[in-house]
Amino acid sequence: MGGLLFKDGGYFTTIQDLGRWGSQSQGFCISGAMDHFALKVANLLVGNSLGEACLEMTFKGAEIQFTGDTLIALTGADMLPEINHKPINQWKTISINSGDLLTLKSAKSGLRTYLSVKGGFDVPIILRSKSTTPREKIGGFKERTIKKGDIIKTNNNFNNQKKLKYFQLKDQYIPKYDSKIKKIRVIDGPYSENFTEKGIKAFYDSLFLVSTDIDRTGYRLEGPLIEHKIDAGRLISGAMVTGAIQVPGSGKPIILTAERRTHGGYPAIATIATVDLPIIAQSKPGDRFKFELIDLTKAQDLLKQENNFFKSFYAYVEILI
Amino acid sequence: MGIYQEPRFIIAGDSCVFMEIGDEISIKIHKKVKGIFNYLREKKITGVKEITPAYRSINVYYDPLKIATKEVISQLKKAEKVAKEAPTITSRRIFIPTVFGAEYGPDLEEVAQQHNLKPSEVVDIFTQYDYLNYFNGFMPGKPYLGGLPKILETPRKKVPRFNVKGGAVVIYGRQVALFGLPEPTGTNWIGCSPIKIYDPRKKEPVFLKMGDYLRFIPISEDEFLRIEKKVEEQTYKIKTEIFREK
Repeated sequence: MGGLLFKDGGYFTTIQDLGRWGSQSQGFCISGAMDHFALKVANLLVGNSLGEACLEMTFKGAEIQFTGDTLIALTGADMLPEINHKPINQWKTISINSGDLLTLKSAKSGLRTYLSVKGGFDVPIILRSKSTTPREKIGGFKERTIKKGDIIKTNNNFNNQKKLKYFQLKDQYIPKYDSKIKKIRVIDGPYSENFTEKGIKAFYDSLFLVSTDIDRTGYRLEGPLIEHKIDAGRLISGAMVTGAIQVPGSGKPIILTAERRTHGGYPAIATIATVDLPIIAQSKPGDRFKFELIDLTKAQDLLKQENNFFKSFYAYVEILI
Repeated sequence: MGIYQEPRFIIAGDSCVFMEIGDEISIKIHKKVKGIFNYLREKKITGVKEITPAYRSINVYYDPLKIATKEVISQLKKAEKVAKEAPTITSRRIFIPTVFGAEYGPDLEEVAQQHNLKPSEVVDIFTQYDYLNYFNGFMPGKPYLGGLPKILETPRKKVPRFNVKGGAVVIYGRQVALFGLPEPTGTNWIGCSPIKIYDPRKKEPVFLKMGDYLRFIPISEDEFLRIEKKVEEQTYKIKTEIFREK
């Protein structure tokens, strides 16, 4: 049985898939990968299904000894990976021999790195998902972040590596996370009518700075205050949506991300197009966002294009073996 | 004010629609929300990933690659017409044993002072009413309870507490909550129950359902400790009965 022995758990490492859908009405958040694009590519590179669970490593990566032969892939933020102290590439299928040591450093660009293993991680599926939500004591490996000394088993014990193909995503399709000003496409609302014209203008005309107050629940932004209409800063509590840019009474926007609460009571000025959520996931304090309004049709067309990319994935890779 | 003539549909990003059926918190709107929610859950519309209710709204999360937004809306319109108000006969009354005051409810004194009552009078009033669970949300298993009598209406605290433990019974405005897990809160903490409304060890970790009525029963500290032990051993059975509305 293969597995991963953690010599170092990294800064904040959890198991995540595409989220725990279907339990918000019981109060469970959706959770799941912050960057669905990187997670899906990592899975396709090792022949997994798109939504298999991966390790999500934030800011600083883990140090891992493998206890069996396997295939892995690393996507997302560049954490300068090395196998047995020799640099390797990300966005590529990597063959692992039992005993190999993978070391990752702090993210050089981007914030979150995904590690897939062939066959996926052997952790229980709780309420239809392997995603970890430490706050809710649910999912993943022991319902928590990974620590030094943890051993996580993988589902695959394979000995047919020779028959497998190795891929590398072509360079032009690898997302770049370096730009300091990021264009984020949004659609209007819900409840943008609760803001003044001045507030809406401030939102679309200004740059917003990513504050240091960011986590898997949300990203607080700094910028000009976004003004509500009188008595329009609170709503009757309702269910929320990931990517919504809520503005509480302070006038400072908060982007709701993967571990957002199920319900809340602030109006959102806009909601980020699903295809641009990975940009948020890879942004760090000090980055700047410029919001660009698009319509629903455009946002859904972009999602179709992204889906076509995954459907025709092998047209976008170089086949190595 | 009340139920809208026609439901209001709000686009919330590229994969979610909100349906609002009214503009207030009321039992009438709750029943309608529950009826539509149950209807949609049974109908299992292809492409719909999840349906989440609240006081006066239902969110429908869908995959736009599998179902068009306008089809989602037309299905919702149909559901609103077809779904009858949720029958009340299935409601449960759930008895929540609770210790009030002192370290189990550090804000009870202050709440009593605000209303010119004795702490024991607050407890007497509080435990005479049934509180309707409009829906679960925010944290696993956490109910949004309404029905606090006007006499106990209490604003949120100016300085929130950093962490209030699981089992805490709190009041805010005319609402009541019972915590499954610790959380920071600005609500007024008046008591503590040994029962776990969220127990991740269980196959069905969430105990309370939308539409349940909760009745808090005052208990002694000794009884709290006895029940707490049984809960830990998973041998405690929460007392429930069928609730019929007057």
